Amino acid sequence: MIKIKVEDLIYKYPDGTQALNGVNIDVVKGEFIAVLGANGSGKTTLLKHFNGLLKPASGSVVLDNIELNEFNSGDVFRKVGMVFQDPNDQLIAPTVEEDVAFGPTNLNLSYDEIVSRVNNALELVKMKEFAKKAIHALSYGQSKRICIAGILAMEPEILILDEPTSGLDPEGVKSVMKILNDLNKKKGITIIHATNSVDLVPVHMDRVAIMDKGIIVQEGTPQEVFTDSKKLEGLKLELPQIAQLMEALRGKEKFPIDSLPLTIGQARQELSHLINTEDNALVSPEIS
Amino acid sequence: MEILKHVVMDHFAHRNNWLTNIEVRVKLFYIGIGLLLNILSNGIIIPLVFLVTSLILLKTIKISFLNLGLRMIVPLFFGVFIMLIMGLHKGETVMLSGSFLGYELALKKEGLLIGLLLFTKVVGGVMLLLLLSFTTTISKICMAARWMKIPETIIEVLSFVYRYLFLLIEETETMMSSQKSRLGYVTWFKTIKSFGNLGGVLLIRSIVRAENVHTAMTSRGYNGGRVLTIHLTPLVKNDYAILLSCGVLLAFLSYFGFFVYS
Repeated sequence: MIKIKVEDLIYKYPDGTQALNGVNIDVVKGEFIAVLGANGSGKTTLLKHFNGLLKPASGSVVLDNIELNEFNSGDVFRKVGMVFQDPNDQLIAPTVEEDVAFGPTNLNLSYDEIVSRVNNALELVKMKEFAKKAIHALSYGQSKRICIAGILAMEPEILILDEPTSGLDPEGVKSVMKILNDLNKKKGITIIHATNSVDLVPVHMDRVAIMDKGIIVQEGTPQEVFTDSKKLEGLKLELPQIAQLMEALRGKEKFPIDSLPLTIGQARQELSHLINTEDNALVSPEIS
Repeated sequence: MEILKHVVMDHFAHRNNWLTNIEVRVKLFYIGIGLLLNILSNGIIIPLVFLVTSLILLKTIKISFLNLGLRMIVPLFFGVFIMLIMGLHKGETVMLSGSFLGYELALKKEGLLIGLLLFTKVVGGVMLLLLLSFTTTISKICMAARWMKIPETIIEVLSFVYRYLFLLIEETETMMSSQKSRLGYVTWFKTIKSFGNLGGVLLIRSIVRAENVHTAMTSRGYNGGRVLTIHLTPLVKNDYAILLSCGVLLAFLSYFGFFVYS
């Protein structure tokens, strides 16, 4: 089932920058999709159209088979939550619990319901013990998690994240990605994740859409998209590190690799398969 | 910049001790009435009592004199300044006279006494506010303000100021470091130029930040409602007992300050 359908989306900023040049994309319910692209490719602008923060110059955004402009904004924000890139833009209250409660309060929920949602959201991002802490006392990684909690407390069906792992250390990236994976797999939340970190995509995402100059230039599973480094270089991107290594082994060392492994697990399987085949080839003549 | 950061930091209020555990409304009652008495007093006894009691209370939660001193520098400076101005301009009984840069100056007893009263009022009042700020988070003050039916807009602004004050200091610090590392403060002229740039860039960044924050707030369903939600728990027996004690203490203080030693 298609949750969001974007057709021929065009958007121009007031300063004349043409940010989107006819974007077409479908987001399927329950999927974890990456919007991949270099800086300035139009990712954030596209994301802001998904919940109606920006109105298209032309084209349409359809949410649950209804045009976005037919919704009232409150209903859209209830369904589509957005986590912004800079936590300081999003965290506005003095303490963690107050910030997480901000969204539910705007939904005019009862006080008990707000408190319950705050507790649940903090539990989901493993930050419950930080409830009373001042926002300015949080680390960058903790702030990012509280941003996610603030949106989760609104119980959205779709979660949009604008580069949620940028500026995080490896442990922070791992922790945020685990939270997102759990939300997608266990809670069934549809996730749209804008990023320029290619290594994350094959490990976590079901599908990837690559943006360049305001349009989607490629779309498909990571296996379908990450096939050729030259094509990605033209888009100011590169293959995941593992795929680069395997491509070098295939090209320069003439390893017989058909499809490029994109994750450590896939590469390990491929290499152990190659080693076993070679061992068998060496052993076989002696046996015969 | 480090001092400024240190002065506005509220980590003391986040500690767990007997003063931070007192209900915020009780503290506001004591501080509010205390400030009123401090302003209305016509002798130095009441301000001095507030100064000494606040100091003792803060020492019980291990607030160092250095921390207090850093926060008192500016008010003390103004206090001394007021005292000198009063001493120079009011009264007739000359206590001390001399010339300074060709001007004949004379400190008069009556003026100095008025100045001393104002000085004690300044330090007493500031000490009361320090007692509040060292033991109460802004968040709790906002909750109490809502309970007191103070308009939402004021609470909203207070909470935003608190939230973004630290960010402003951080951004200023980063930009100043960047200017310093490129020799932006080596001469007076360059210092003034760098300060000018800093102010301008900070203003532009603040506007951009405000726009981004508003977008983020809109996407979380904000349309001019409340910024804060968490409620205060109802007052319990213990709170009423402390409230009563504070009331009795303030009543005694008023009696002695206004009627016995006035």
